[in-house]
Amino acid sequence: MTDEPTVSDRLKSIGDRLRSVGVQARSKLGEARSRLVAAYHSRPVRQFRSNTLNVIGLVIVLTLILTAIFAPMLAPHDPEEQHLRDRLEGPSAEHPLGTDQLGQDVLSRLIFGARVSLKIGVAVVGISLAIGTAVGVTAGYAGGYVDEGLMRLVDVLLAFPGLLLALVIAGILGPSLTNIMIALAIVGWTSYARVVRGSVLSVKEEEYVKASQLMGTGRLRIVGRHVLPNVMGPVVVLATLDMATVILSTAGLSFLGLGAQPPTPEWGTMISEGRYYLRSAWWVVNFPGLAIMFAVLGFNLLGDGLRDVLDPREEESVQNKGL
Amino acid sequence: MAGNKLNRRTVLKSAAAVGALSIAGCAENTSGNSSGVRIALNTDPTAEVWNTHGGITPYWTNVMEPLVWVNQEMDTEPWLATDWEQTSETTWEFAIREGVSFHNGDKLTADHVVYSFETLLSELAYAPGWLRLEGPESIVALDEYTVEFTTTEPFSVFPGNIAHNMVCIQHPDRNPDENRVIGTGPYQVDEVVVQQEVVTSSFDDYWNDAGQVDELVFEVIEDPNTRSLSLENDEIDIGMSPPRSQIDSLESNDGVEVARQETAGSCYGGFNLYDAPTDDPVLRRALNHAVDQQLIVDTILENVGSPARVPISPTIYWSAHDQVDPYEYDEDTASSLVEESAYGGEMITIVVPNDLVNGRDIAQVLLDDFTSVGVEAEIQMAERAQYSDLVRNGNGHLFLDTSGSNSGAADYVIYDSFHSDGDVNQRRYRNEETGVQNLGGEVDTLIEDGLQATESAVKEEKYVQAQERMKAQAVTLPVYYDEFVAAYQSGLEGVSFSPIPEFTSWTSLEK
Repeated sequence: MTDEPTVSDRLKSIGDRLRSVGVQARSKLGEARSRLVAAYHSRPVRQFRSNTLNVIGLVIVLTLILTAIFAPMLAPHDPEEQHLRDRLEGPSAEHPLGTDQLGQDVLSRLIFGARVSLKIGVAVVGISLAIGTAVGVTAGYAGGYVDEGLMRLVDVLLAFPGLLLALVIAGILGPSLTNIMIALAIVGWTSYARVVRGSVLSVKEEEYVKASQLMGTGRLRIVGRHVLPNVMGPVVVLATLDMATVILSTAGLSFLGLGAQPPTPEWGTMISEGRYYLRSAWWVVNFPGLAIMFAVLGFNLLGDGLRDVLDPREEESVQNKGL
Repeated sequence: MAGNKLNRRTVLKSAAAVGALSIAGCAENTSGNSSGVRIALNTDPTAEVWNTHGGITPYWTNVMEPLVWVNQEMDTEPWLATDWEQTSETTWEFAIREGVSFHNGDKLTADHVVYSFETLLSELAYAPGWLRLEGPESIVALDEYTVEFTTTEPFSVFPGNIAHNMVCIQHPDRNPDENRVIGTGPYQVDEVVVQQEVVTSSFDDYWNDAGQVDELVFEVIEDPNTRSLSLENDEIDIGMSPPRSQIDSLESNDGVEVARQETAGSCYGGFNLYDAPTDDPVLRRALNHAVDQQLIVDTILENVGSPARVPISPTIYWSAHDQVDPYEYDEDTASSLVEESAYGGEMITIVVPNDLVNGRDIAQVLLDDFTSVGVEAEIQMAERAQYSDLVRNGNGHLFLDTSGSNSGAADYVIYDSFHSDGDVNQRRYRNEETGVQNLGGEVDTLIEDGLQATESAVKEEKYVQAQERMKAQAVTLPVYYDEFVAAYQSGLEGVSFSPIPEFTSWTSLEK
């Protein structure tokens, strides 16, 4: 008969394990905290913090992201719930931003609209960034005919007015958010390709890249280990600024009826549907307008801030020119 | 560049100059002209599509006239033709009014009528099918004042069909490249400013009652809010279709009057009768009971229009509105009918053209109503051409749109939508022997009989029977009968609109 551990032994063992996990967690947390503190006091972050506008941009973007994530908890009403008899009611305790032409709560629709805008922004910027980076790296690193061919394709696409081309593509594909994403991504990747290619042309001439080549390192490895990490700074800046453009373009295309299908709450669609009530129910149009304005402002300020930190040469050159 | 430096004086001078120019610009409008009337349309009266009509729209402007007019009762009335007679199954003789002058002084004859119809047939691809006329031999001048039309098939509603603004009589010297429009109407064109306005003046030699005001200016203001503001700012005298949300405010404005006119139009959803789950009449009845049309009219439509029972507006004399009972709004009945039906939780797609006024809002109300009785639904907005394709292919379950007549023959409203060989159903009917909104069989026969009936009573009887059968099978989900609204300065007199608003005559207008 073997000695089986008693209940108190088991509890003790569990307690010991929990204590050990707790100690480890505290240690990890401490490490993370010190890393955060170190990062907070690092030169780039100090530089970023030194400009109030950068911080405002970051706060707006974080607010937007948190709003989108916690929309179901934050929204006071179901954004699609209609109360026709309570339509076009002004701001009140029940409906802080009023109701729209279907008696839907404007605040709740704005909160859920943040999800749509961010989702499209992230998707379009992500797709554009991936395609643009791949094309830019290929063109810049391979050079020769490959570079010529890819860059002329970029030139052709850039020759079209971006939003107009997106309008045509979305018009052909039919109204839906997915089609807007496709249209904006088709239009948007070219600027990334240009920026990445320019950076790659410069980075590939660096000593460490040459050294890697002489050591016989494979092309893909050189690109992955040495080139890409050194060209991502300007790309991140561009992506942040591009989020603002994509949000604005999505709102524009939705305003024209090419975006979200009803009853999905989307800011551009809310403005489009509410514009006939501009004179009698200002809140239906103005609050989505303000939401778009703040979102665009937030990403632009954040993008400017990141550019100052990640690409200080541009600021220097501007200062040197005395502008 | 010190020389270019701005100082306060320069800025003030520039601001003063800009201000003065702005004031001068604002001051220039003809609404102050005591004998001129400015009418704001919601579409461009000079759009390229009107090149067939000399470069200006034949709607509203009273510059060109048809042979047959449509009166307030939606009946046909002699106009440039004084009489007509069906001489065989496919031939019609029209007597042309004598003593009618064109704006260039020439007298109207049968040759002008032949020229006008031939122009229409050659320049508009859809005209031969629409008018049932093909080739020059289908329009012949029998003498100076008699024209014979030969239709491609027996077409009893031919006179009503050509009672349409677009089927107007023009002089051969018209020239769209020079915006030279020559008609016979009470107003003649003085100036065309492309994409902006058409300036017309009263035609002294008009054959009928001449216009009371010297000048009518038709300008385009596409945005309804801007039209409404322009009216309140006294920049225009008449504004068509103000935003519904502004009608109450305009009606309470002392300086503005609001005119309302029931039209020959209606808005309804047509069910796809051949695809599940809307192939089940019990479910279709349930969905009819689920919708409160009165609430839609009271709220979304801001009391413009009235709740519909059938897809045909009661301004058309053969509408079955008075003969059928409506599907009363009752959620409980709707829910129990849904349970009774074969509905198994499928998604119903409501297809809506994106140019349908208030279409998005109405579709969302329908979706909400359907959901509340246990039917899943989604909305698909579509650009007009795509919408037409979706309907004809039966891609969807409920097709929301408006329907109405711009001519004295409203027969096509019922034929095109509900006859198996009508425009909406033809593609699937011919390819798959099904269709979309067509019950087929007896209803097809009734529609054909109504179409060929020459007596109003017979036509009414046949069409009413067809609508009763359609109602029993809940072929449609009627939403509202349309009402036209225009706002005008209270100093104007004689403003009244036709059930086909574009047929409005301005001759009784006084300022």
